[in-house]
Amino acid sequence: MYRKILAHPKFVLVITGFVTLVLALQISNLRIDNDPASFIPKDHPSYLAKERTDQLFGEDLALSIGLRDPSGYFFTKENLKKLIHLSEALKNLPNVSDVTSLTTTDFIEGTTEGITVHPLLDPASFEGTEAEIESLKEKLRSWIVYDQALVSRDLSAVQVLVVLERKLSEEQREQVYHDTMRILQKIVGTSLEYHVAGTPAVSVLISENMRSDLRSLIPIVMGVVILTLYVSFRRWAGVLLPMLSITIGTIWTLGIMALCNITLSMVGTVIPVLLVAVGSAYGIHIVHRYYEVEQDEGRSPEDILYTVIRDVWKPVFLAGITTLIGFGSVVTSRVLPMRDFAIFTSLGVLFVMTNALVVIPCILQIRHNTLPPLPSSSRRISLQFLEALDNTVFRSQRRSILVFVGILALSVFGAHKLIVDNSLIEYFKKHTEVYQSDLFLRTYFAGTRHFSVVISGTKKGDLTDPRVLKFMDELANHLLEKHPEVSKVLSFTDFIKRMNSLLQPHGLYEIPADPAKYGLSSFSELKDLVSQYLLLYSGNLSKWADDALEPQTARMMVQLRTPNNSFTRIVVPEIYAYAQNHLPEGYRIEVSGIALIENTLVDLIVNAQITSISVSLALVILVIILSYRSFWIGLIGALPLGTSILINFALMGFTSIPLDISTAMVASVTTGIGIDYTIHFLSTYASSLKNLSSQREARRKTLTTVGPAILYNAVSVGAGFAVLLLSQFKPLNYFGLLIALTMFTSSIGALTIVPMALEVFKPRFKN
Amino acid sequence: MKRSIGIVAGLFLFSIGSLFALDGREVMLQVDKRPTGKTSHALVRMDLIDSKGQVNTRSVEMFTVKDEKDLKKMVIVFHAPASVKDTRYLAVENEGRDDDKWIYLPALKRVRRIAASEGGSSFMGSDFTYDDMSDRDVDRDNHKLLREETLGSYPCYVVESSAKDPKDSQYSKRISWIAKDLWIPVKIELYDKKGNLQKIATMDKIDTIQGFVTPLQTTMKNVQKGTSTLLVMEKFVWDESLPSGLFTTRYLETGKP
Repeated sequence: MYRKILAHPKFVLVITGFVTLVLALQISNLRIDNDPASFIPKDHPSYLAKERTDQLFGEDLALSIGLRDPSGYFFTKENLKKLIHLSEALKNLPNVSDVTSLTTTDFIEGTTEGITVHPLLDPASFEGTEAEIESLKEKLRSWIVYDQALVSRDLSAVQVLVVLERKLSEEQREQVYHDTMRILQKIVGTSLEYHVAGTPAVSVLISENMRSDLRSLIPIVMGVVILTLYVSFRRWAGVLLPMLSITIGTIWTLGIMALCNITLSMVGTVIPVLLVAVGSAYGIHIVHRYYEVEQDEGRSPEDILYTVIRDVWKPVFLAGITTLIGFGSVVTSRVLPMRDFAIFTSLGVLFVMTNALVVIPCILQIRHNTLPPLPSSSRRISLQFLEALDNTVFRSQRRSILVFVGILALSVFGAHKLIVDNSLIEYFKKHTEVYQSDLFLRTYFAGTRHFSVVISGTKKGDLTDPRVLKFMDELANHLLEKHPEVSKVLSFTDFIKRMNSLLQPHGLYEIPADPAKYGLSSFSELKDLVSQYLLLYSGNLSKWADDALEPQTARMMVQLRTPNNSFTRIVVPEIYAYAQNHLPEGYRIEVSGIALIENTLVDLIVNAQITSISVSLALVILVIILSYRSFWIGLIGALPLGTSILINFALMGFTSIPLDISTAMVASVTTGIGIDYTIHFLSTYASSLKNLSSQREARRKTLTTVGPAILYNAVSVGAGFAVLLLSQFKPLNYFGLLIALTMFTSSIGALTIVPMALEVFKPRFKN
Repeated sequence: MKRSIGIVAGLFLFSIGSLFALDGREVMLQVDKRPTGKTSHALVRMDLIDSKGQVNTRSVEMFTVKDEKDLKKMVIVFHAPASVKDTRYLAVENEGRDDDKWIYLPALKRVRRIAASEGGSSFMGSDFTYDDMSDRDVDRDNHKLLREETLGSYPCYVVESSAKDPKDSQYSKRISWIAKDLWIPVKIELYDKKGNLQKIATMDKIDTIQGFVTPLQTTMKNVQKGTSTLLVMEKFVWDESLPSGLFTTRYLETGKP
């Protein structure tokens, strides 16, 4: 086949160029989506639960705006007028379904004769007199529901909620966010502090930072790879040829992603960076071998090329396949961005590899490149390093094994401290505006994260039964008392208690649960009383109950002060347990919402981690076993990888780097790339062992021939990934850092642990 | 401000025809001027149909009376669902100030006065708001005759109405198809504050009762939420002699006029 390809190099290049051009034009259609709800499978129970809740009560995706007067007191005429103006302007924005603030909320007041409903602050008549402001403050104090929702406890700040229409696209959400920021800038300006947070704000900002990351990181990683290539080859052909195969492969990958309508999430940013960093290896092998063979006298250009291809296609192909297996193992994840990552990095590796094997020889066929021998200075440095390494490790076998076991033990200890968390807000660095905004809303208000507890009966009107209402109330109190992380619980029952306190002669703020106390003869009459209270809300409680008079389902909203998933992992099971003991018979309870989806995400990440490590390690062991037809060599080959992965988790444990959607992929990426070092080492070692008498000699020979190449490769891949340290996202910084680390550990491991184990266990290499 | 009370009145008024070419305001004046019986008594069934097609039925009995000044009093007695049965509501229109409203909740066993501008909120969780079910002073809106066209079997004037003071309405505009000879709307499109179509009311069944043309069935469809409400007059009588004690808080409390 190669002969056919090389017989028509120009034709092959033109076709490749054409395909590349077509796919390059697709890339601009790539869309970005960072909504955690679209990260988990659409058939997952927690996604379905959120859908059901949204269906019943409306989606509560909102931007939270906190406005604070720097003087510490918000309630002045000017500020309140600004708030009126602001709420009005926000309400008119496209794709905003509702705005909740002091100026849009109704207040129900008890009078001697009955009840009055009027706006908390009526925009039409508000003049800003002392009396008006005092009465407003009085009203806000009179109902706990307003506390930390509309107004902060110290009266220094107010909150405005901008509720988005259902099912908006990421672009529409971005539009709402920008419109909101523009209006805030215009109306509030610098007179007040303002902070905008909430899930839509966070996912919009993730998308924006991603774009700027992509714009800056891709050129930088290319620069790094070009630099490493130039240092190794000291000639431009050595730089350009591998770069060409990388660029074509990356364009194909992104183009196909766009064609398949795959949306790019934060971890998707890594795909091009990774392909550039990893992909250089294949080109390097080919070009390197070409320059070596070229030095032999008296060969025809044709002959040189065929020799090169004969020599390299197998190792390059094997390296590519194992890398593909490592990345591809993440496909077992049910987290959609991770699955996409697995599919498209694998595909990308395949593209880069085939392009290296096809395009580079084609170009060399057209234009032969003859140059002086490779410079040897960098080779000398690495040889000195390897010499020192070998001397240290093999001077005392026993001591080295002890050190190794010590490192393993320490790592196991560290890995135990590993935490799992995938909180969106924690993607951002502490100094960023959005992080600060979220912190502000957690400090002055009930925070931006919440979940719903939905209670259902079996027939209409079941949710007017005082016994179940009492349960809801007690659950709310239980959560508030037991967990400081719960900032506020808003519930259907708050509205019933309010009506009870306003309408009853000695109105108590409670659920009417004792028939005698209310002059009634049965629970069924109390249920009627609740229905009649509901009638007075004239259907305005659709966010809290499924029917205006006789609800079968109602909900409560638990707001959280903590941004971490770890808390929901504790509290949700606790709610179910509480319900098991206290929920009256005939009722069901379901917890749902974005906080739960993030929770599910964490579970899926952990599951994915376990399967992908097992799958990728098992497969690469299998590849080695098949190559050398020895079970033991397979296991030995996996040793440096296993150790690197363990050290990686230990470092994460010791430094509190959480296992999240991106750091969860470190292990598989390490396996995919790191295995190449072992394979290179083993193949040279095996052939050396045939010609040399002792294992020691074979080891020395292997270190001097393939050792430098392994080191170059590890350094260039590590440096490429280290570029992610410049990303604006913490998870990507960690990802870059950890991969750089595992590249170091797995390459050193291949050069030390593997020969050590071979000398200790002495497995037989078959032909 | 003349606040509405006639729950169904807005949709069920009628009037004599006019031979002159009209502008939008004149069309709406004709609708408004339609003479009606002095009292009305209706048994109303409401079917609330959710987006999945599930039906929830409410039923109420309504009494209205008009005084010499054309000011209305209205009583609503709730029949179903059972949990709100015998809840009674009284609204009295006043000249120059808000309506007076009282409600009797049987489980509370007390009459309470309600002061609320609940116009924009839903009536018993249906797709009708209190405002939808009441008539509105013609001169609170600007009216524009858009065109004349035939809708179904009715030749109609198509009139666009929008509040003079935007804050005075829950809608940005309403487009009404007024049947020419009957002076009755046969279809109304209601647009939300952002100018998007929100609801469509259609009068599915119009009949003559005691010589007066009366719509007996109306559908209100919320196109944004996918819900709709069917409002059916199961019984409708004009000019029944209603005891004056009916329109008092004492009646609310005792159920006896």
